[in-house]
Amino acid sequence: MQRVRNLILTIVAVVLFAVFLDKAPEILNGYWQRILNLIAINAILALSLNLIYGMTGMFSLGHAGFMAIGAYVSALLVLTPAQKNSMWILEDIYPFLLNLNTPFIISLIIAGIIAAFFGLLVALPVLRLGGDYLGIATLGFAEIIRILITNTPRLTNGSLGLKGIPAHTTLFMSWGCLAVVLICMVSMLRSNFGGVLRAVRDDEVAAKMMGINTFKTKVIAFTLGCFGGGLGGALMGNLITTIDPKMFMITQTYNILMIIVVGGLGSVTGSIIGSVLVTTMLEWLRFVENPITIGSINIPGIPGMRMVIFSLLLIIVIIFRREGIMGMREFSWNIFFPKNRSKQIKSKPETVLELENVSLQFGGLSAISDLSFKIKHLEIVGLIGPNGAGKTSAFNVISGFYKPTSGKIKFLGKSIGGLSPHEVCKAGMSRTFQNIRLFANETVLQNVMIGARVRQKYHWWQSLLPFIFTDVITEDAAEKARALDLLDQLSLDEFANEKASSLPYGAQRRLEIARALATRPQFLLLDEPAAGMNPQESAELMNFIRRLRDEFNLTILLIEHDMKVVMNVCDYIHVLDQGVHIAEGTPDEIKSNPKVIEAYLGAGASSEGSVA
Amino acid sequence: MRKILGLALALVLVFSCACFAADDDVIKVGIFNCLTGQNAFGGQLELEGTQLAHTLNPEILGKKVELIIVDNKSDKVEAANAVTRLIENDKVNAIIGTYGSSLAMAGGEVAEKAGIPVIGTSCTNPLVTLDKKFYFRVCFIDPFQGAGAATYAFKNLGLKKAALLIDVANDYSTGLGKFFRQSYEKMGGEIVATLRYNSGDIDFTAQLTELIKADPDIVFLPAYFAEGAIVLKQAKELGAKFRFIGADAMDNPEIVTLGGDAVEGFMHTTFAYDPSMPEMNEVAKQFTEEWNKIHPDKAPNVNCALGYDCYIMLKDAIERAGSADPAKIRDALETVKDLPTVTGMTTINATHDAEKDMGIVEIRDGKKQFIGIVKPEV
Amino acid sequence: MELNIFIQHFVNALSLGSLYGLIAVGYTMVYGILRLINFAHGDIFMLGAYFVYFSTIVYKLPWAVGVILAIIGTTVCGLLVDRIAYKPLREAPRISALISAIGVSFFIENFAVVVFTGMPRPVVQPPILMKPIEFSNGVRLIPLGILVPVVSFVLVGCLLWLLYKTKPGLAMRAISFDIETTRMMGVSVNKIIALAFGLGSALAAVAGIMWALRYPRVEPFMGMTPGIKAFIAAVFGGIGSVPGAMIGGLILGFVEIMSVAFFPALSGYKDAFAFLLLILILLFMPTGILGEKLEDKI
Repeated sequence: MQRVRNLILTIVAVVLFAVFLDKAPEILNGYWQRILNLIAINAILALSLNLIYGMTGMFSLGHAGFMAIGAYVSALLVLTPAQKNSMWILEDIYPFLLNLNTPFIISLIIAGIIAAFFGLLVALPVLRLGGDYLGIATLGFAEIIRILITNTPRLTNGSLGLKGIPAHTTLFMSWGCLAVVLICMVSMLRSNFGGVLRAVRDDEVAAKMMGINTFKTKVIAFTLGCFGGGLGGALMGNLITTIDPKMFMITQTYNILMIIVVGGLGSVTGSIIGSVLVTTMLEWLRFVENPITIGSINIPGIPGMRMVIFSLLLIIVIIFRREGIMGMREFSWNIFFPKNRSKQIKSKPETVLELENVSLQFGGLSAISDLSFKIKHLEIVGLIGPNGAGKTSAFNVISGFYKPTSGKIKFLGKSIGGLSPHEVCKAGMSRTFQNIRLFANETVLQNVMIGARVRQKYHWWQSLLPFIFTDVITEDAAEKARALDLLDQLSLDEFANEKASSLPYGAQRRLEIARALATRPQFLLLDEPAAGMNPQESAELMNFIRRLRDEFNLTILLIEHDMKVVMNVCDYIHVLDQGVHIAEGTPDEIKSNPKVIEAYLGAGASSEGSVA
Repeated sequence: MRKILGLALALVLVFSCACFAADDDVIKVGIFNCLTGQNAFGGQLELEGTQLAHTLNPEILGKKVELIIVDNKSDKVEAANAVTRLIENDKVNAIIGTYGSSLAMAGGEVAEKAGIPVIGTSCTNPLVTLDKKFYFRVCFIDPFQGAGAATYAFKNLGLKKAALLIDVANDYSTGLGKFFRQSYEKMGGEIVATLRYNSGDIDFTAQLTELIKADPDIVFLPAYFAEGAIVLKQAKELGAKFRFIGADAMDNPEIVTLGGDAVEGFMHTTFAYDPSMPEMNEVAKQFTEEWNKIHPDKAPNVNCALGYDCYIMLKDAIERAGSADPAKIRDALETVKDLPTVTGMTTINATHDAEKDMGIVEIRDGKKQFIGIVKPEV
Repeated sequence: MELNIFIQHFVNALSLGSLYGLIAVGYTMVYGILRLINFAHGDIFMLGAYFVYFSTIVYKLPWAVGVILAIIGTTVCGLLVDRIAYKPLREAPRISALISAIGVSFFIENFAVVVFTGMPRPVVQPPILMKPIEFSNGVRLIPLGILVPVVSFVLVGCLLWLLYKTKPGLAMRAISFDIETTRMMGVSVNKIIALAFGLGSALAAVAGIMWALRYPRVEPFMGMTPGIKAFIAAVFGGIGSVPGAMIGGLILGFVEIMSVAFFPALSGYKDAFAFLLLILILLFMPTGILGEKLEDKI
């Protein structure tokens, strides 16, 4: 009901705006039409950079370079041979370029594709870098692109630039492009793939464990963002009708960055509000440079005052609204209305996990040496040992975060040594983390949905056009139902639409498990599930773990310091000390094993209760 | 804090409304130039020239002339916005501007569509007026000037081996470099080396060391004066023996203070005006005198003169048209012939470029000296 | 290439590289402590150059006095920028502070245009620094060309001493390691951050002064290109590492000069070489040459 209402409201708003655009040439003068055009183009640019930075968390300072590619490609395609002949006065144009000529729309698409192609070329090597280093590397690529354009006069007419580009960018063109970009982006962000993007931004490690190929996801987001950059650049070139390499310096990227941060990093609505504000503000402030007369006082115009005031406003906005105007929120019609308030697994081989002489070394340091053990189907197995025994390292090796230095790991009969975390996850293994790693900005439901993405069949590009590829909608809906079911079973249903970070501690632990379950694993690794729980909570946890095994047909391996939990819940226990497997057996056997007691006492800790 | 912000915004709004005042009996002349940003130094000088002309001729055809000044931030997008604003919001009759050819091209397209005539100050790239019905300029264009420098070096000075030092990121510099090479080689000279740098560079020692190795008689340096002066300075530090010749962008009174004794003997082509000229025409005399009255501390240069000339040429066109109607101004501008301006006699040719004399200036004894007129052999 | 020409290039590269390094050190100090790319650093550098221009050229003060005034003035500006634009954002996401830095950069540049006009101003160099010394093999050096690297190295040496041998230096390194813990140890974190900003700005001032002497003009936008280049130098060396910044500056200076020296025909691609090298270094050493290695904690 609410959905239908919102859809109707959206359609009405769009139609009204289209009518407005249609009448714009009569109501608005050319100056305001130009500003409207610029708003749309800036919004496209801001959205595309926001996809890269705000949604996926890759700090890119290279947007101007991709704009340049788009602008040049489109201009070279729409200019007529006669124009090209008269313009290349430094050196002759390459003959093959001379007669290239396509309609505007096609040139826009090609511009976007070529920019995306270069984006892909840049992304493959560079996205391995993180944080500010990624920023500077992309800045470097953008500058290289600009230098190449400057130095290849036969292709681009060098520093002379191009002029006389037909002014194809009309209001309908720029806003039409913005509408398409918006529809695709909002659809994608609302689908589960959008959740995946945000998951990569919030916690790459946890995302990997949810079965997400984070590198591929980042490459996709970056390439799509570059498509937007190229499209925006092409529209800009066709609006200004002349381009040259100096247009695409770092300041251009700063401008776009400014828009998305002022609007709200990670918010689509914010990007659009930001581009309206920044674009109109810069023009509107022009009056401070004109002479002003108030009564009898005459203030002469001071050139430069406009930018001084603009930069001051920018600083003030950021200081008082550090998250930007929208923060991460999005516009929704709901703000105008008062608020109303699964599992089957085939028969399995007897042995689920098998480690054979697994060793892990960091430099000269040996974290695990020669570890071998087997875990049988539907067993709950404990892995204990004093601090620094190598328990978490063992988890990291099993779940694919570290490659074992030597040895074999077999999971369900297949070797998984050397697979990356997301591949391990696909194979049917999931885990939780010692220090909870939820996607803090997402709701509880979204956290679980992200876990389910690995089992979904639709491709990322289908989420751009969900109306054509209805699989996206049906699969997401099915996954949502399953996720709600899961939340219900873990008594998290009351929190479904709350932010993960707002949950009480115990619920966050359960949510992390729920998210792990959403990947539909057969084998679950729990890293200190009882950490920070009081005796009553840990008693509940013991029941919960057994219930997990029974209801979800899971084999479970857990690290735990709380001996009560370990002794009560585990069928079998392995003990590690300084990377060496020193003992194994049933809880009773372990309790009376002198080696184990020695290891713990040697580490200066007691036998019962918390060792941490 | 929010209240204060809100109050500030409200105040600003009131101010913005206060400055709208309409008057039918005025001729509105828009000026779009780069008053801030990278090219601010050039735009500010030209603006001062135009403002001087306006102060001296506040009325045309008995109507008051109002100058509306808009900054283009040395940025193409802003240049197009600025011209649109002048035409649509301020309803100007004609426009003057700008320093920087790429900015002129961005603004020119808008004016062309609206049918408002524009007079360019120092945008010398041939592409600015290409296929434009409404764009004119008071300056000559790069091919002419490149050929002028080549002719002077080869014919007048008899130097047979030249080298080029080009700002590859600057349209003005690459254009001039190409036209210099073309006519120098046509005359029989030899280009022994071409070195490049990027706008914003400040260390040219590597390029200069290469140039010294190539041992030319003269180096053509189509740079902006601020960069050019540094080049000359570093050349002297490195002990370069060859001479330099530049173009009109080197024409700035500051070049001597910037370059010190390193610019001694440096020559550049320019428009036929310099305060050191022995014989000035009447317009130039008046300009120099009035300029010195207002700015006793700084000498005028060609940018000031060109800014001034734009207004003079516009005034002439409006008077001959007998109306401030944009279309009529345009028609009158097309027939400008032998109009006395500060930078010599101006004639507008078929491509809307000014045909005028080209001067040569040399720095002698720490002062700019006007050497004479050169006739380029293209 | 003949030896004397190579030596000439070498000295030029040393001079340019050490200036880049000196600016980069300011970037790196602020980054090391606050993880903030201070985009306004290049503009602080520009203010240093303007201060020395006004004190010595316009008001005709002796050079020594002018230099000291310029350093003090620039340092005060740097501290003001921190107090007004960055301090309120200490707890905010890093990108907010970054945008604030871009705002400050726009503000200082345009304020300079309004107050000083866009016209480049000439700097008159003391003749004693400019008298060429000619060697028998044809190498010509000017005293300034030697003074610049010497001053730079001495200053960076002093800074390293301060960082590694004094209490405030220890506090600075502790903050860059973990700001919260350091705060709990009773260190006045804000004072130490201000000290870092002050030192960074003072170094920028010295770089601005030497820049104005070496490339004798000042203009409002003179900080843009050196600012970006120094930022790159800081990344080369590993952002956060002071010796790294100096090494990065030198590498950048050498790449810029030597690429033109060895490939004069490709002199237009000079900056592209620098960026390409930067990207290659980052691909093989993802945190620069001396940067701390970041491990994903799981």
